[in-house]
Amino acid sequence: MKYTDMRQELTAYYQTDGGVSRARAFAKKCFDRLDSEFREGMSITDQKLLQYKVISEEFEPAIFKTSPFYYETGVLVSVSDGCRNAKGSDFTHACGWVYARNRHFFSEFDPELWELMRAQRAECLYLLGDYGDTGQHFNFNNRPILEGGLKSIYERASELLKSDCDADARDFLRGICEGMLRIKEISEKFALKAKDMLDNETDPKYRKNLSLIADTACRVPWEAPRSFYEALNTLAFMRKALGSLEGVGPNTFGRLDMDLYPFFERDIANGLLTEDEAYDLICQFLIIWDMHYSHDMEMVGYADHELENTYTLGGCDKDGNPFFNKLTLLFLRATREEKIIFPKIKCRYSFDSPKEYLDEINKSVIAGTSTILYQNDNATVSAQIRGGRSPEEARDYVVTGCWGLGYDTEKYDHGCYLNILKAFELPLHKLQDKMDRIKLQFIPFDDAESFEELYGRVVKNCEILLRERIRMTRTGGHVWSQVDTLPIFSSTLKDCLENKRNFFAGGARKRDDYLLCFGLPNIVDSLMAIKTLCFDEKKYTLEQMLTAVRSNWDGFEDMRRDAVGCHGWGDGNEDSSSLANRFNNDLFDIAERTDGSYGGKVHIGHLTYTEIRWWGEKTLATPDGRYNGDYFSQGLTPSRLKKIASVTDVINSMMALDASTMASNNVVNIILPSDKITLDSCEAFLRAVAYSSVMSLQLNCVTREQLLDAQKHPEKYPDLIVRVCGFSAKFTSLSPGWQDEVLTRNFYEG
Amino acid sequence: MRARIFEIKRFAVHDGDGIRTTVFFKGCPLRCLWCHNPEGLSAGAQLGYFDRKCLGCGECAEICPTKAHKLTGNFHTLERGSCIACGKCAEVCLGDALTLYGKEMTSEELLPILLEDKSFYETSGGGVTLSGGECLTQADFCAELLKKLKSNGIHTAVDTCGAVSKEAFDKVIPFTDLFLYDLKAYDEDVHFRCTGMSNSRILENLRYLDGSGKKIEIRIPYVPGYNSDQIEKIGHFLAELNSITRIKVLAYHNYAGSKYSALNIKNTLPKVLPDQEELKKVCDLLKDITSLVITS
Repeated sequence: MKYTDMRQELTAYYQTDGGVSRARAFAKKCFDRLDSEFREGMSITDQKLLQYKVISEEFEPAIFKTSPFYYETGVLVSVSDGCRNAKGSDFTHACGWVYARNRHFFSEFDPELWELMRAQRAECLYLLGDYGDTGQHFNFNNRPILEGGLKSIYERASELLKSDCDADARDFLRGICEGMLRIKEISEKFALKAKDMLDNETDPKYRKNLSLIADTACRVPWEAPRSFYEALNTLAFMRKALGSLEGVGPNTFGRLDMDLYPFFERDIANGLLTEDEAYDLICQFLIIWDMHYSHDMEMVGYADHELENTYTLGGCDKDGNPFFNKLTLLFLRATREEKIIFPKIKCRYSFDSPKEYLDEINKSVIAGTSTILYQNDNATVSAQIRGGRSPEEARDYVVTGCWGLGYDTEKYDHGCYLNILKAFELPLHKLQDKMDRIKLQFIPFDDAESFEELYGRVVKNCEILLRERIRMTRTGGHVWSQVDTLPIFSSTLKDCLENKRNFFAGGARKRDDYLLCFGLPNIVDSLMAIKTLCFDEKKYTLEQMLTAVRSNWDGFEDMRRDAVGCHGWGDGNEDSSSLANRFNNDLFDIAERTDGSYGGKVHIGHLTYTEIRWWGEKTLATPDGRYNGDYFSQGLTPSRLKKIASVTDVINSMMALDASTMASNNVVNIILPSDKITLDSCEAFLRAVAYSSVMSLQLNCVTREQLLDAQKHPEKYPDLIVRVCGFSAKFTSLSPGWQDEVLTRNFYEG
Repeated sequence: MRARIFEIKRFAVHDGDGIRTTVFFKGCPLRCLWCHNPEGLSAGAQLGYFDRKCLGCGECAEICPTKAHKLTGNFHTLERGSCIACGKCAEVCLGDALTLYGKEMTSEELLPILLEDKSFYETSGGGVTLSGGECLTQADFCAELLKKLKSNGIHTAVDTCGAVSKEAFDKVIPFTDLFLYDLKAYDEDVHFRCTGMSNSRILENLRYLDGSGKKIEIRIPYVPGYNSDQIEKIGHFLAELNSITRIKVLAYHNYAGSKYSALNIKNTLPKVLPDQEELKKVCDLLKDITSLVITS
């Protein structure tokens, strides 16, 4: 096996204690010093600059002699992406000091509102950070640094400082200048450390790496990278440097095949790099992140099992022509041959993607190694254009995190999950005490005299929830400018620098709300059951059905069987497809009528993370035949209660939805039989999907029998990797609960 | 006109190019020992009973007009002699343990189902395949259906074992874009032993079809110990034909075992499965004989 010594060295560093002790000790040391150097009356910028200073002075670079890359500051827990709270741990990273010091402003601003938001969050109405923000999912734009280095940003900020500036602008530009210099210091410390290590290293193989680091780190990324190696290293370095200083989690490296290609092409043309050498560098780059975490670690809880590192491949260029190149293939090959799970890969494709590209993606998936998210450009780009972007910008998106869409004009990829199923369940079960607690009075359904009346109430309840969610951010979101400031991060966002405004102060071009609705399939199936059984066939009264649902179907098994047997979302039936389309369009209209939290637009989509279990467990029975606590459907994936004859029914149903209404993206899970799918049939399937409104496709090629056998004989399936919820994992590493979740999904025979 | 259909399989990816819908017709003149669609052998309707799926709910016993289903406690038994294959039990079976193989349908009933996935055919270069059983035992119906499909712009394929009359081929040739033609053996005695019938008509029909100029994809099931020595001979025979576009070697598999038990018919499936290396050798052997595209 190649890269054995590198894997061993990285494993020892990252997987011992997950870096928790190291990061905790460092955080304590920094917090002590920061607290002692803090002075009352310090501006938020000065606080942040103090944080930069202390972290950059205190950190000890970690250099791995087996790797040519320099990036590791040791400031963060291994699996954390840089956000303030150390993922999976009970302490705040050193980079969260400013936030931790000032977060009291949130509750002080409006204690009642703050408590209400917490109560609504506890009731699973939405997944929301502090008034709409979190430290995760930041879409850091590396392009300005790849183009001009930190120096170009520093020089531009210095120049702007000489122009007419108000106090806030000066503060912001000063923060950028100092931030850039601090990152420069960090990289220079790596150069010094590499020089020290060289003195004691005799192995020529390791000396080569150390020399390379010593020569490069004193220059890059302050200066723009000049080679493919330097560009790759810039991405690795900036991710850790930003995460360590700023207190936000950058979660995409960007469009790697597009952004790195000029460096690759130039090096090859100048005879400085061979394709094999590029491949070798790519393997080593990917292995770094993959070793941050053990593939065999059991997945149990929320977000404890994945690394938020992602990158995007393929897609189209700014003119809409299919884009892929040699680097696309090298990244995919390296992922396959080195069995990489993280970083997560997002492969953009369309109905005219080259076969060579699709085959290269599909090879792994067909072999039972589903590490790739397919993102359908045709549906995605049309939604972005309708959402207000120019065609050129719309075509240049990245897929970040699990399935968020990112642009270099924006801070992060999405807003939050919005549990529209709660707006359905609370009035359905007449949970008045809960509605009182969350101060939202959803309209009950009991006395609805027609299906239209009932449907209207369902939509109205969704509107009440959506508007409340936006109200929270609109009312409290501005407090963020008192709590934290992000000079380094903002400096690379389009327009912040030129507008001399931090992101929190409205410097960026665009700030829309992206709502990710949760529960459409269950609501549509429930409405279909009510419509069919209570209003069309009149087999039961609405009262009888509501009584059955409220009793968790206990004593009403016949009625439940009838409900499950009704047409539902994804079965290709015209009525269910048209109801789903109507409901989605109504959600879109509500969003269109709602002013965004920061004056922008409100967009909807249909995505769900691990809440399909956690929120499902906290949601009572629904008229589609769900029992209390059953799992939800993921995004627009048809309910697992429905027997769907063919996967083509699912895609035909998706063709009935208007893709352009879903600028926040959507996801569909599909499991196809591994014993029947070939490269050609997989390609044909993907091209057909490209014509539908499916945006993110989570495709697994596996049979239920294989998974059941893997449960009994895990040793036989070391490389069986499944898509879970926006990330991939070895099936055998999933907890029994998660294995069951995957096993109870719909498996399509064809 | 009505035909007896035992399955309509959508998203079929092994029955011709692209994504297809395959219609399986009841009734086959051959009795291949390795048959993986035993539910297609008989021309009449049959009830399949998968005992492992039975929940013992008793719904079938309640609805059965001939009392063929009996429930003792939770233990279900099926008296096949009384069963008239009406399929009512299959409709109410909660565990999907009962399946009716053989539903009479008209081409008017079939057409909208086959057109549902038209967009998949268009994007993938797929279409509709008629298979079985042996679909050409119901050639008049096939011709009627194929004609309707062609008038809707659908690519059509007919999967046949060739053991039918020349007239049957004449009926469908005008409306068929591709024939998937199965060849099991070249030597007549081997063919007889493995399928219960001579292959003289099959080879003759293939020559005839070859003369029609229609595209033909040959499919050779490879069953170790049964037709292993026939591949080379089949290859030489095919090398002399003109309309063959591809030869596909299909590795024998024994997935159909449960269907034999469900139908209560004797399981004749061979025990030995081919391995990948063996399959590669067979393909290489064919490649030495003919320049046609060989896949497995």
